[in-house]
Amino acid sequence: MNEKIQYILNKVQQSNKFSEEEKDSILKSLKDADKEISISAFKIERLEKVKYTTTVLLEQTIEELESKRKSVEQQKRALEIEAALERVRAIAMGMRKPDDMLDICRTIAEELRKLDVNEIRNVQTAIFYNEKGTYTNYEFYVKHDKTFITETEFRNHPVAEEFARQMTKGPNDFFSHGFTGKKVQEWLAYQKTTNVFIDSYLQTATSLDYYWYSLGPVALGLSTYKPLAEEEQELFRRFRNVFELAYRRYLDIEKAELQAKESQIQLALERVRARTMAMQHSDELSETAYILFQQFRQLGEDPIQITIGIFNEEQNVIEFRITGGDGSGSKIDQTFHAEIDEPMLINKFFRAWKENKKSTVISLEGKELSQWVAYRNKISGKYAHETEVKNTDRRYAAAGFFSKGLLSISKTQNPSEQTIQILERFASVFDLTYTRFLDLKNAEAQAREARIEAALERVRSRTLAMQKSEELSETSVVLFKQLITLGIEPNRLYICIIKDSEGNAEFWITDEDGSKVSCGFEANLNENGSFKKMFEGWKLQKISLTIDMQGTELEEYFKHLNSLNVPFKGGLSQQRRVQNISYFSKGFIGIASPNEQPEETIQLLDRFASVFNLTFTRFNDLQLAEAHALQAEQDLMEIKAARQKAEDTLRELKATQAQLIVSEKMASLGELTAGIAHEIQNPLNFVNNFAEINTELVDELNSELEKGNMEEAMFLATDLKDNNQKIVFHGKRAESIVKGMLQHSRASTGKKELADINALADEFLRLSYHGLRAKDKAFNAILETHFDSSIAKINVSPQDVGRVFLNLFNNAFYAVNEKKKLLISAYEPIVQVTTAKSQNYVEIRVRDNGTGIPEKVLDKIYQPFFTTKPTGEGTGLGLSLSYDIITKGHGGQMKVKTKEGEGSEFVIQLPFDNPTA
Amino acid sequence: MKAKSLKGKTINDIETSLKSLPPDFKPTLAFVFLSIKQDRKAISDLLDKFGISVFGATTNGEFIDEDYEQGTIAILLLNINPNYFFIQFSEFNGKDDRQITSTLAKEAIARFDDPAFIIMGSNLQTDVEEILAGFTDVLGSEANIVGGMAGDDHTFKDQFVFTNGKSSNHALISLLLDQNKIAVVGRATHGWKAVGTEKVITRSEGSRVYTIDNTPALDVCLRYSGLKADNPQLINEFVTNFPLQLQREKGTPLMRPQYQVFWEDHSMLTSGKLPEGSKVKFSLPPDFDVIEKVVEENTKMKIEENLDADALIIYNCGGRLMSLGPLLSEEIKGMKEVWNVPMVGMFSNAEIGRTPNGNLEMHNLTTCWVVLKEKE
Repeated sequence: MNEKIQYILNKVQQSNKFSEEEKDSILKSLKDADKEISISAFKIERLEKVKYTTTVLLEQTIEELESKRKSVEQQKRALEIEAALERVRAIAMGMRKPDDMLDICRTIAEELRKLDVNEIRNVQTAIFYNEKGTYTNYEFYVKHDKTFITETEFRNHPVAEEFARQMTKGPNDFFSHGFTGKKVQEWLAYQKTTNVFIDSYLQTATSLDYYWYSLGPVALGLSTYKPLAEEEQELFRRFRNVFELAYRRYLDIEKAELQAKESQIQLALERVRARTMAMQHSDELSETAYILFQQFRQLGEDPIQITIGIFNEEQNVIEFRITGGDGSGSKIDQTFHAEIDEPMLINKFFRAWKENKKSTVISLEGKELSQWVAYRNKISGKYAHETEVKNTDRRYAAAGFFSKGLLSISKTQNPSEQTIQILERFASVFDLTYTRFLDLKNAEAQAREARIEAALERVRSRTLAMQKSEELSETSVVLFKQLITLGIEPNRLYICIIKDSEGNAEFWITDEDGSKVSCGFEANLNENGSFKKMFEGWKLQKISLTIDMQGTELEEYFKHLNSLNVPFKGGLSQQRRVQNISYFSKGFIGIASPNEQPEETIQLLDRFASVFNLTFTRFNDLQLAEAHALQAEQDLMEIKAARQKAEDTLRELKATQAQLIVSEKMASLGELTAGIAHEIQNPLNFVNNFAEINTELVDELNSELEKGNMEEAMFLATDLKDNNQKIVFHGKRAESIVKGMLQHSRASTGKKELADINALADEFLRLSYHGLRAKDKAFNAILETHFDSSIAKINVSPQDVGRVFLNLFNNAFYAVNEKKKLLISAYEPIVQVTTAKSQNYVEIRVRDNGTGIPEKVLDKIYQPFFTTKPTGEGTGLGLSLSYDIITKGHGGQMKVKTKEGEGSEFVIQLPFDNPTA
Repeated sequence: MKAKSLKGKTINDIETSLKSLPPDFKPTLAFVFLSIKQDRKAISDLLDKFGISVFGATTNGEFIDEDYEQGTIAILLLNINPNYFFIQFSEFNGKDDRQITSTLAKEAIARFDDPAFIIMGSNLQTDVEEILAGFTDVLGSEANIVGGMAGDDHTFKDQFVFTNGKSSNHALISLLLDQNKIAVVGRATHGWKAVGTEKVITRSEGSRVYTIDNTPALDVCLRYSGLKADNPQLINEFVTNFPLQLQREKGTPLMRPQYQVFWEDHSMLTSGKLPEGSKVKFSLPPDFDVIEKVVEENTKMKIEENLDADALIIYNCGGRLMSLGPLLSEEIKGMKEVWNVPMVGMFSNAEIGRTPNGNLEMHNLTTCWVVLKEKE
């Protein structure tokens, strides 16, 4: 409770003046009052507090708002700056070509102005080329609203130099410089000596300030008519940062442009290369050169012409070929020569080329230029186009070198680095072109040479193919045709054969177009002046001669030819007749034409003349050969007749030989027959005898059977059986003898089969013996056989081997018989037959102790028809056939050992592995 | 439903009053708001002996009319049909309080298909927003919940909620009322005015605010309040004269007075969370006409809801004691005169309810009231 009220309350309570009700009422009122006071006090206090708080709050809030306002303003400013930077960024991103850098400068200037940077003079960029001492400046002048791109030197003023030095130190460097008062004018005066834009406002300006920020190889700059405040400089610095983007973009574009340019250049070079490689003929050089010119032009270089120069050091000249346009769109292609010693230009080019430089630029002006132009006009003759130059004129001749020469262009401005590089590259490609040109020329020359050789060869071939001398005219036609094929102009061609030293000659001439031989005639070369010249030339052994007939000489010539009935189409109306003659040993060939022939034609003619030499020699040889041929023909007929005769004789001899062989066979067969007959007789005797006995025995048997003497009958039956068996045995013997004879008589097929040599030898021994005995009953000999029973059957032709045995046995019996006839006492004729087996062969020996073989005939005994027997007693083929059978037929050997008077031994060796035929 | 309020300084006073009740008034439920100094167990037992369910909390002051006091006992007796109410008592552990209140909500709707809640919680660490979230997780955002947080005579040491046989300094007591039987209508209002520019909580963790507009929270509060750091009544000044209020898109701003300072980093604790990014303003105490406004609000509510209340319970923020001072009794008087029914009220550490057109939220420096009316 409020003190005062409490006091009052106390007083009231203490007072007796009030009733209780009054006291309660007063109390209540006082309490209410107190409450009211409390409330009021509270309110006041509260109000104070609130007021205080509110004040503080308000102050703070104002401060806060002010701060926010500033912040907002700052933000707004920042946004404005950002927006400005963004606009610059957008322009930078929109850059398409390097020149768009000017838009950047303009935008920066405008944005700075919007951001209240005033008194801007220009915004510029600088790209430095330290080697050249220049920088390329992209500038936008605000008040003038103009843009410039200039390349400016910086080494000619200390401020500029310092600026360049500072800016090229590295990125993030800053340079500023201010001119005031008089210095401004001095600076202006300096600028007037350069190629920069002259700002007219500087004439009245009192200050000029430059601010530059470096980004490395490029810098962004600002110049103002009034110095910038700190924050303005800071603002500009931010634009520098954005500019970096622009610069990167600029570099990218530049790079892209370079790449595009490079691609363009590559494409252009490729086109030239392609055209070069497509060249098939050397005369396509001018076309290729023109394409080079076109491509060069498409690269924006815009020359009027390109001059191709080929150095010829031997002749100390340079051959110029000019390709390009004449300004009206027509192509030009001019060629002329200049001396390498020409001092104004050519010699300089030459020296540079000798030094293996890639390119050079020669600048001509004043007197030098005049002299050069005069010289050039002189040498180019009809191609001269520039007749006057002024003293102030200047020309730049740029040359790109290649291995054989140069490509050159002429300009009134110093060619740019790019132009020079392009020129060098085109020169390099042209090297290929020119090399190809030279290769083609060589190839063409070789091809032409090949064609000439082929043509000459055809002439040579036709010449060599000549069989008769009458073919000379055809050969001439071939020659003429080859000349036409080789491109000689169709003209009258002729061949003259000089027959003798008196000048008599024979001509073969073609039609006037050289198509065919029109006629031939004889003439005396001394009867016409022109002919006489030709004749004289031949006598002097010249290689060629040219006679240019005109006027009277020509008239005389035509008259003479007319008299010789040589046809002319043009006839006497011709004003000129040029005779080109090439000599050979026996005459000359020539071309008659209305005008001179090129050197090449003359040389060709000379070569054909040389081949024709061969032709004519061949002609002569042929005539000779023809005579010989006739003789040879006759000889041939005689030879043929002789040959026929010899063939007939041979046929007769062969027939006779065949007959003799048959008779030998028949003779041995005949000898065999007697022996065989004897052989057969023996078994037949047995058969007959036993058959008779059996007949008797059968009668006895029947008798005993009738008697019933079985025992006796049995004995008789047994005898019968035995006798029958003997009959069978001997019958078979006879059968085999007949078989053997049949085999012998059959022609031997040579087929081999396994045969028992012992049996074979034994069989034929007996056949032979009995055969001889049949012929001569007094004949007798001891037969000794020693057969090796271990010999198995071997593969032989039984008939042939049997024949051999027979022959040897016959010879042995004959020999011993002959010796017996000599009545030597105690002589016993013996013939031995021995067989033996060795490792690889069977050996059969036939030995006799007869007369033997004389030494001197020993080497003849195997010769056909050789015999020592008297005539009619032997064919002389036996041993020959036997030898062949053993050696050739069986792969064996046959030898003889003999001694005259004592006997002989024939040894046969038959191999085991004689394959079955 | 009949109601009667009584108050006393001692338990004897209460007992005397209980014994003096008219015989036709058999209370079944008692709202008990008492000072931390009082023997709440004894009082609870006393009421329990009378067969009365206790719904109690310690306070920062208590009243049954405009004469509010501290250190006393204020009780509102009601003879609600026991079937129409139920008292839930749950301890909290600070970890799953939301889950606990969700469970309570489920139990409630198992009991009454349309429950209303009057809730009171204890302990300054209790996250009232989490508790409410637990309720609304089950009941939805339109759940009818009103209440307040227990106080302790402004000592901020220990607060209790209690019922028959139970008492806890970290619990929730929840009075379920069957809305089919009892009309329960509550509202909240504070009248604090925002001043100055909006500020942003730039760093905070829960209710600990480190920086406002990137400046240490204390520094901001000092700068804008003009208070000095060495002011011995600094916190009181902040609370009563310069509290923060959380600006929301919908509804009245929530008062979030700063009630503790951390000198090491100049951060502050606020009553209720201020998440990072929240926008706050400073507040000036309500105008003196706030009283009229509160009364006006009550009148409006009475008319709109067409309510003829049987009882009135008020949860008034303890901070208003300082900020409104003697005006507060006028406010209470005005409210009382509007409803003209038995009432009880307490000065709480926080209030729970809805401001006009607002959400169910935890409030500070706010008057939150609820009227009860038994339906025919």
